[in-house]
Amino acid sequence: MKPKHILIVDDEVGFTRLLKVNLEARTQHTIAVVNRAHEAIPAAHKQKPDLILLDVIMPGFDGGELAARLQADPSLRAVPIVFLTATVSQTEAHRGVKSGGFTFLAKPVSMPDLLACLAEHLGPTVANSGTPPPAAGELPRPMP
Amino acid sequence: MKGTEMNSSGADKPQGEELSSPQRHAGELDGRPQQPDSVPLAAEAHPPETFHILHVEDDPFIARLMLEILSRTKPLKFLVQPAESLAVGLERLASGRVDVVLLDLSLPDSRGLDTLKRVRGQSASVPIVVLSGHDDEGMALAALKLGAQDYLVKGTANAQIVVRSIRYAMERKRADDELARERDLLHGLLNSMPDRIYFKDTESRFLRVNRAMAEKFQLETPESAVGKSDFNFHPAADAKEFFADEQRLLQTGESVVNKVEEQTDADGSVTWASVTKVPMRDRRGNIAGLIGISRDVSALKRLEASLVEEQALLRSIVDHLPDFIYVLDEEGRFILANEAFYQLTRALTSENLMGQTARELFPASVGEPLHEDDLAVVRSGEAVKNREEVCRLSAEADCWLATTKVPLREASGHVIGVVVISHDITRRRRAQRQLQDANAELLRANEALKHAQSQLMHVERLQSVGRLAAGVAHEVKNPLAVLRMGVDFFAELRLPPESADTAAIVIEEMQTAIQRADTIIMGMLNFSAPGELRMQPVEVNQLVNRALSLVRHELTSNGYVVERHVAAGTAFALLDAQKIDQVLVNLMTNAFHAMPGGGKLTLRTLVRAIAAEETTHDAGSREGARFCTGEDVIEIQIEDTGTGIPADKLDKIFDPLFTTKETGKGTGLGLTVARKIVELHGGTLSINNRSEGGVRSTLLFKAIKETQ
Repeated sequence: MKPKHILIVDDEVGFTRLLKVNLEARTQHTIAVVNRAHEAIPAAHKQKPDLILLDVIMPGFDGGELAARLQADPSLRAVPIVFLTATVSQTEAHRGVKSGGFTFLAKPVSMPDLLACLAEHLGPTVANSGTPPPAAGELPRPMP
Repeated sequence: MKGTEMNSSGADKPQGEELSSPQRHAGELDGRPQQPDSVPLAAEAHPPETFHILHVEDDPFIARLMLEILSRTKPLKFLVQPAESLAVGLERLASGRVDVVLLDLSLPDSRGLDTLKRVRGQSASVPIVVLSGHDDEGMALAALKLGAQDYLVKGTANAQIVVRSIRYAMERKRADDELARERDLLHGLLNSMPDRIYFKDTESRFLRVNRAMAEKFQLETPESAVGKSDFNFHPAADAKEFFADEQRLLQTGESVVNKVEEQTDADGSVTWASVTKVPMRDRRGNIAGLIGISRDVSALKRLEASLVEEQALLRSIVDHLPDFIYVLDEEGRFILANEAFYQLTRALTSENLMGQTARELFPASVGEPLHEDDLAVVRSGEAVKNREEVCRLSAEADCWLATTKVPLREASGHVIGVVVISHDITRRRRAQRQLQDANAELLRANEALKHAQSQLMHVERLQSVGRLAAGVAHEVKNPLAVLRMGVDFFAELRLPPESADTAAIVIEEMQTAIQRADTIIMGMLNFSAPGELRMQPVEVNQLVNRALSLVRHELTSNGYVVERHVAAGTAFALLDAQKIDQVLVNLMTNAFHAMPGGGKLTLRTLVRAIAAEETTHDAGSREGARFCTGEDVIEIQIEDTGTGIPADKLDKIFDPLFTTKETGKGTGLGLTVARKIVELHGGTLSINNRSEGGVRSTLLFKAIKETQ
């Protein structure tokens, strides 16, 4: 399974950092992060992600609008978007999958749920067996 | 005649000589029979009456002689008052009773016929016998014409003649008086009668008419009618008719009695007279003419005519009134009914109505009570006023009347029937009912409006709370997401074996704590912002089944028994299916939690009408729904066989954040949110302990027709 590119768009810096660490620890996917909505499209053009994890509510933009823009871009139209939302329950999030055509994940999302969701879109997760899981004390320092 | 007597008396020479000779002694008369006359006098049958004689004579000898003669006359008793002059005589005549005046014409203060005239002038009625010294036939006749009863000549009239003359004079006077009285009476009668009286000869010519008749003919005097006939006073046609009537009467002798005749007067005005004509017969019994009495009955006739007119007018009014009017006699028989009544009873006509009773005319169910009701008024004499009742006589099903029944009384006050007037008030009743309906509708609308308003306010409040909650949720969930990521990172770390187990416990507790915080936030979110309801007709049995399938894993895992009693057919309500799913799942989850050791879950749906005692009219309340009495509702019951709810907790179960569940198992928001959701649907949620144990949750929603 070829590693994929994942773009995380979320203004919650702490969350994106930990998410990136967890994903990199457990998968071989390449993770890019932008914390500002308007950076999302240039970043996507640059990275050409296979999947975008998108926060629904961000200052200046809402996720829905950003999703519409991403989808309006011919080069990005095919990229699946998984919404991360802090305002719905998991049950509602699941319903959203059926109704809107998007996938929703409710915050706080657990890693098992997230990995299952990614596997659904990108194929079975390739365990990062080559790279041993981080040992205690090896947690990357949060960026300032 | 007088002359004859005088002549015959003149044969008694000695008496005459005595009178003419004052020298003779009055006593010489004594030997003469005092009462040679056989002329009957009324006084003879009675004790002697004294007659007062005024003797006016200036010759004292003659005066004494007459006094002597007259005072001795028996059995008549004469009281003679002598007067030596006319002046004295007139004075006496004026001052006292005088039955006869014995009058000498030649007096010191008056002479000849003038004397007589003056006495007559003094008294028109007193009989006067002239005792004159002049034997003058012409003067005698003149005296008689001037009203003297007799004219005696001194010297030719002896005592006998004088006395007889006096007596005749008195007698004649009395007869004349009687006749005069009779005549006066008749005259008075004729002329004072307002009725017109007339006498006609055999040719129908007036012999005499009374004053009323003359006035009728506009004649100056009654006399001017004499010799004329009806043709002079009436139009020819009338006169001919009268003439024919009278000629028939004159021939047959049959009277015409009280015949009412229409008469056209000279001025063209029409009058009415009640005429009676009877034959007038002569002494031999032959019809010599006729007597007629005509009474003006124009006023009566006019009254009669106006009565007829008035009656016709009343009848016309009665017939043209839209009210139903009839009159019954004291036995309840119809004696009058107006057009409206005939139209109401259609089949009836005047012929088959009059004289019949309601009992005879109408079917027993209608006629019997009507008859009794009418007769009750006759019996009690008490009127019924504007009683509102259903009209049973009408073909229309819904016909209302305001009926008035008044006893009909004769002049004495005795009730002789009943007058019934019924006014059709169907339209008023209908309008009244519509008004009531509209009013009720308005009230309902008002209630609904108030409820909607209260809901709206509630929703608005919830929305603002909801926005706050959403903000809080967002701000809390993001840190929770960070924490979760962190915990999940640690969960994957390879730890030294000696600390791995402990770390696993720590991580799990942290994950659970994050989960709990998340659940609370979600509960708060749901409580404050149930969101917009997407209402649509939902079949409730299906809804319950679907909700049941959502808790299937709970069911199967713990071996619960489920019993379902569903309403027959389909039962629709206007609901947001997803929200009610949430409520049902919540209630069923509570039921399972109440039966940790297993038990029976009973689901029941039914459609029923709301009873009066269930309706709430507290418009300000935001608890409970507005249901109207008789309104169809769908009831959903969820029963468990658990331990029930402690009595002291029962009134707190809907309070936010109140829970009896162990920490982590319940948020304390489930029922609060569930009730909010139900109320936003206009429904009610109540939870009670069952008498046989366990809890029953009851949901009520307004039932609708599927098409709504």
